[in-house]
Amino acid sequence: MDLAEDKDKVSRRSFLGYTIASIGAFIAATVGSATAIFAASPLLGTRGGTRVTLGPVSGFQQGIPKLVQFPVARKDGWIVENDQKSVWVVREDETRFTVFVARCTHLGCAFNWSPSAQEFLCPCHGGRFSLDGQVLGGPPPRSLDRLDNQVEGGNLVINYEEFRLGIPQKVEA
Amino acid sequence: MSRVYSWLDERADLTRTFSPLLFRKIPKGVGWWYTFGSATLFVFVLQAVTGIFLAMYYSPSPDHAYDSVSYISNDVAMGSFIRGLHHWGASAMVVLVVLHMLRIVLMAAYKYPRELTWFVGIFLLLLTMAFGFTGYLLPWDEKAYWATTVGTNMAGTVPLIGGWALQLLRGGQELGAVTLTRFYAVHMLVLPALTGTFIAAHLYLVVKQGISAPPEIEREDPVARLQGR
Repeated sequence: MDLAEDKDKVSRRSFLGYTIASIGAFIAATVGSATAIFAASPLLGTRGGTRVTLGPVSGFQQGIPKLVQFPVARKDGWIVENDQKSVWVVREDETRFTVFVARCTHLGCAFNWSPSAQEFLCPCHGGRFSLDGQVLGGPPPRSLDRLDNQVEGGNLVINYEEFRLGIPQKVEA
Repeated sequence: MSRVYSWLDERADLTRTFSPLLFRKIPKGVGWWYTFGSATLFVFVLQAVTGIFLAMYYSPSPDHAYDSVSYISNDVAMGSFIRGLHHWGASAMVVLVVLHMLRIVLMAAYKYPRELTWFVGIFLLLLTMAFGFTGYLLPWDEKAYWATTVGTNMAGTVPLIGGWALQLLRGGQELGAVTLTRFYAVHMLVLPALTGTFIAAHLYLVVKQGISAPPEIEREDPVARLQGR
C-alpha cells in the first residue's frame, strides 16, 4: 500500500516532520517555561512582616509620638542584610498604641513630628499628616501606614512590614 | 501564519536564502552515527541558554560564589533544574563531541576536501575542554578549588613557559579572587564568542561541501566524496 497516494493517511515524510517538530516544540516549551519561572523567581517569594519588640510600654507617653529605630534582617538573595528601619509610635491610652511606618506614603521619605504644628511633616514634597495619620495636605495619596501591634508582658510588639508607595491603596510592597 | 510568513518572505527573501541550507541532499547510507554533530550543537545551545539564566543569580567572588550557587539550587524557583541542565549538559557535550570526533576518524571523513572542517573541529574540541575547565571552578566548592589547583599546576609543569602560564591562569601566584573572576569572564564571554565563530565556520563548511558519504558507499562511487560541491 502506498501511503503517499492515500489522502487520508499521513506520508512517512510528513509524519517524521511532525514528530520532529513536536519533539522540538516540547523541548522548547520545557526549557522556555523553566527559564521563565527561573528568571521570575523573585516574584514568587513569600512575604509577610517581621516580629519586632519595641521595648517597654512605659517608654511611650500619651500625645507625644516617638520615633523608634531597630534592625530588620532582610534576605537579599544569598546575603542577609540588617536594614535599619523605623516606626512612629503614638500612645492612645494605657493599653492601645498606633504604630506608623516611618516613611511618607508619597514616595518613601522619612517624615518628622513637629511639636509646634502638632503634625507629621515630610520635608521632601511637603506632605502633612495628623496625629492619627490622616493626610492634611501635600501630595501623599493615602494616610500613614498603620502596623499591627500588641502589648506582650509589658512590651510593645509590632509586625513590621512595608507597603507599596505612591498609590491610594495600602498593599504589600 | 502563512500570510505573516509570505509578508516576511517577500521582503527578506527567506525561502530562497535558507532552503539550500536546510534542505540539502545527503549521501546514501547515512544513519544515527551522523547525528552527533547536530546533537552537540543542540547541547551547546542549551548550555548557552541555561548559562545566560544562571548568570542572573551567580556572583563570581570568593565571598559569594558558593552561597550564590547554593541559593540557585535551593531557593530559586526551577533553580536546581536549570543548574542541573547546565551541569549535566556540560558532561553530555564532552561525550557527544568525542563521539562525533570518533565517527569522523573511523569513517575517515576528515580527508580531502574536509581537512579544514576537521581543523576547525579540533579547535572546537579544545574550546569545549576550556569550557569544562573554567566552568568547573565556578561553584567554588572544595572539588572546584582543588581541581583547579591541580589543573593550573599541570600548566605550570610546561617547560620554559610553565611559570608564566601558571600565573596567567591564576591571575597571580595563588588561586583566589582573581582566578575566579578571570575564569568567569573566559567561561561566559571569551569562550562563547570564540565557539560561536568557530561553529559558524564549521557549519559553513559542512553546508558548502555536503556531508561525507559512508566509506562503503564511497568505495562503489568515488565521486560521492565530492557530492554537494
